[in-house]
Amino acid sequence: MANYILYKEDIDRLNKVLGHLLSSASATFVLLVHKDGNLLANQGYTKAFDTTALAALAAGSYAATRAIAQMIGENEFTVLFHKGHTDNIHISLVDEDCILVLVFDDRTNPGLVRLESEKAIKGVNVILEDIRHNEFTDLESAPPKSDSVGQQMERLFPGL
Amino acid sequence: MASINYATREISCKIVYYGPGLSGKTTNLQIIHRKIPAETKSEMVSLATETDRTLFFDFLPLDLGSIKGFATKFQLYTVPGQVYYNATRKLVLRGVDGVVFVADSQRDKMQENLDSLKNLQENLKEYGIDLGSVPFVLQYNKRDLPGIATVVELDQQINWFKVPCFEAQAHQGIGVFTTLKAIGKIVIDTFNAKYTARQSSRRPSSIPDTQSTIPHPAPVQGSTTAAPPPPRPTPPPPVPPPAPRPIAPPVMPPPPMPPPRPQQTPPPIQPAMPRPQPSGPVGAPQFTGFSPPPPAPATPSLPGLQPGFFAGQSGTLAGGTPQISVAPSPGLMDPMAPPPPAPMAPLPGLTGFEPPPPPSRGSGPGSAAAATGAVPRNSETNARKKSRLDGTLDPSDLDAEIARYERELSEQKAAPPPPRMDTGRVVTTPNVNPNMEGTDPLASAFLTPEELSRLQSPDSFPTRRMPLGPGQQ
Repeated sequence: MANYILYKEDIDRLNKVLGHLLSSASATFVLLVHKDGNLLANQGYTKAFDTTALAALAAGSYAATRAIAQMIGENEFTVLFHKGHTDNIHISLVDEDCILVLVFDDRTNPGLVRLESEKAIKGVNVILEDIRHNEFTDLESAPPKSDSVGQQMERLFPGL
Repeated sequence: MASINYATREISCKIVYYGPGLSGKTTNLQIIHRKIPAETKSEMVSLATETDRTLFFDFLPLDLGSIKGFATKFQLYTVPGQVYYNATRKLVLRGVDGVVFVADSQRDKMQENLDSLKNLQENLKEYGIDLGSVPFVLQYNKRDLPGIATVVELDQQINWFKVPCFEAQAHQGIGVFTTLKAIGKIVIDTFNAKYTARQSSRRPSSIPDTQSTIPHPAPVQGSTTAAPPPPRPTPPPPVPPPAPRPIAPPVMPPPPMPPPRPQQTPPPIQPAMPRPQPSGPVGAPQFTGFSPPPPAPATPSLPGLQPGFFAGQSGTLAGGTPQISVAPSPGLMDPMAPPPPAPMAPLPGLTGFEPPPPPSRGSGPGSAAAATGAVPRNSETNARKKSRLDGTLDPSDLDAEIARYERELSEQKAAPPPPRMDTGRVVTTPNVNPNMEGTDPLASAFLTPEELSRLQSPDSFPTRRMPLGPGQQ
């Protein structure tokens, strides 16, 4: 499995599509999540939420539902919908690696969310295909070495 | 799957704590979560049962802060250790960057450790990951309990790949951070190895030496002090013998090669030869030109070459002589005839012959039928057979069906209405004797008049008297 390398241009393109989806579907916020649980991009009102944990749990929920689908002979379900009293979650499959998570309340309806999600997924797919071909650009942007990580951990957990 | 986000300058890696049930995986995360400084602390998510057994996974995001401009984050997961949660364990392993195997040091838990390790290897294999190539450390937990195996014994039993191992008492926090630091460094090393490999492939002038820049970890036996991991030894493991861990940094497996295409022998030498007009019968395929002229007995008198063998085939041969004109044999059109050989083997002594694709029987571009525009009979039959077999309706069948239906309809209109068969009446058909009124219509239909008249006579049905039994008189 290839690593995901996201540049600012990719994030900007993703945010543009997700922002349009957010307004057209009148959702609260939208997350683009890798199936491994990594959050790739988000748009909307996310300040009050732990999006990292939400992304991991959404990926776990999707993975569990996928296992259920395979038990009944389906490869995977393309849409999951969790309905609450006021807030709901709509999870849709983007491609083999990513899912789209929309959180919305009773100011909109699931049909509109589903329709707009399907439109946005087409655009997201194009961008993700470009992202898969991304490479590291220059040595100046090299990721940190393990010594630096070790020192940071020592600072974080001193004497442990 | 490690992701690097250049927009937010963020690196994210996934580390999974694996091991048998009740070995202390969740305790590791709880201790880490407790010790995280408040300013960077985030919530730990536990999907557990009422009795605090892990049901799905525990999740703890660990933000190390900015390191050389990159916000480095580890996502720590645990799996449910109980045997029947294997499907869940497999899900959590997806996209893993590093594995910590938390083993229970008690002697009576050794078999559970081995089973869990085998299970880890199998589950990783389903994602195409080799346990020998993924960043991997061992933690021998519960060292404070009585009846534990020694580190040497544990190494011999479960340290198959001679990876770094650490003693721990997780509930007291001993060895927890040593393990975390070790796996964190190995994961970052592996990530950097991929990075340098990509850079070296892109910019050969600035290749840093991968072997020298990446310190390899060494087993730390009987000690809880974290040491920079030296190179892993390569001797084969003691108990199940898996492949030894490679010293070189793991590289991505090469993409699967497409299956080899069948070789076309020999290749066409002059592909764009103008085809001469047919000189034989109309529609007869021709093989024109051999280059260079082969030995004389090679082509004209091929053993077993029947007339019509090449019917329906078209080919291009380089050169000018000799020419072979083969008329299509009527026997070839017979649906019962044996099918033509699909791949034409190159004839000995012929060069530059390109075998054409095998056409469908009787409908190839070079066949007589195609040339004349006539539809051969066997192709129609085959189409009907095919339509019957696969349930589709052949257009010609449809026309025939309509014609048959119209013919039957007109015949029905022209014919007198069929006689009604009422019970108790004689059917007035010419075959029935009109004198036989009152007889059974079924009998009159099947018996001759003589037989019917005999039946009508009162003596024709002699009654048979049954002998009476004793006392019935």
